[in-house]
Amino acid sequence: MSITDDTGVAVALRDGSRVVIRRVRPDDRALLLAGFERLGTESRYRRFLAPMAEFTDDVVTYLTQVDHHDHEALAAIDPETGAGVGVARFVRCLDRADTAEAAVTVIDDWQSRGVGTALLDLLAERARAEGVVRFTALMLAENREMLHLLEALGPVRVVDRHSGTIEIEAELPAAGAGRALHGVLGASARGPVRLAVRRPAPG
Amino acid sequence: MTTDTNIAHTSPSAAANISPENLEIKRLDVLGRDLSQAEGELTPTLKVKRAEILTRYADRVERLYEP
Repeated sequence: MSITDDTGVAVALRDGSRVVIRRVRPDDRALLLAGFERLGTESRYRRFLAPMAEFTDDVVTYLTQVDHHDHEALAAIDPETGAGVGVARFVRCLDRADTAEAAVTVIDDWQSRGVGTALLDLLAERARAEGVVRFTALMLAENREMLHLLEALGPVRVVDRHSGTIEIEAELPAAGAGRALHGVLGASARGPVRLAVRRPAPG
Repeated sequence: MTTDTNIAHTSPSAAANISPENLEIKRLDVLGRDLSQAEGELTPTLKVKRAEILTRYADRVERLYEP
């Protein structure tokens, strides 16, 4: 299962609720801004590594007008309301064409349900399709959730530490969700973890 | 000036005082523009590069701590 157009895929979460994950489009400005309004102060800080009170128009444009090759963004939508509940994106590194920086955000009300896992899993598939073999991520050193998400993709190494942040690199699995499955199970130190994503059959 | 190292070696009760509610902004410096990706201050996904900021504006940061 992968996302190749704007229709998206339905994903069942571990609490039984559903989201639809699709590519971000230029007309998603209002969706993005509404999602940002529902993103708590701490979640914003974790995403941008600084306090973020509002988005400028330029930032909204940058985050929604993506070329789906060097910059891909996926949105998780609540099918009940049409509201955006999470977004994941990668942007290819200028100096390393096979490497991209990844970022994942899920609004507070929807955290801990598996939205981030589903987003990152599908983002990794999109990345592989565009020739990306590894993700980098800059994050707060204390952000265990993001680290666990990336560990679910493959081996993660810390390449830099500075001022309470770490920069990590994660090799993407060659294909399929096999290693992701192992990673999810391997990262379950906090307790039993069921595989978050159950995708509908193609068709 | 008290350094982080000095604080770490003081008593546990003193170390416990380094919690957000006991921190206070004494001085601030306003850059006058938004941080930008073009200037190398933000990552491609728009995260703040703290290392770059602290290096680039080291003199301004240092002045905040001058007596």
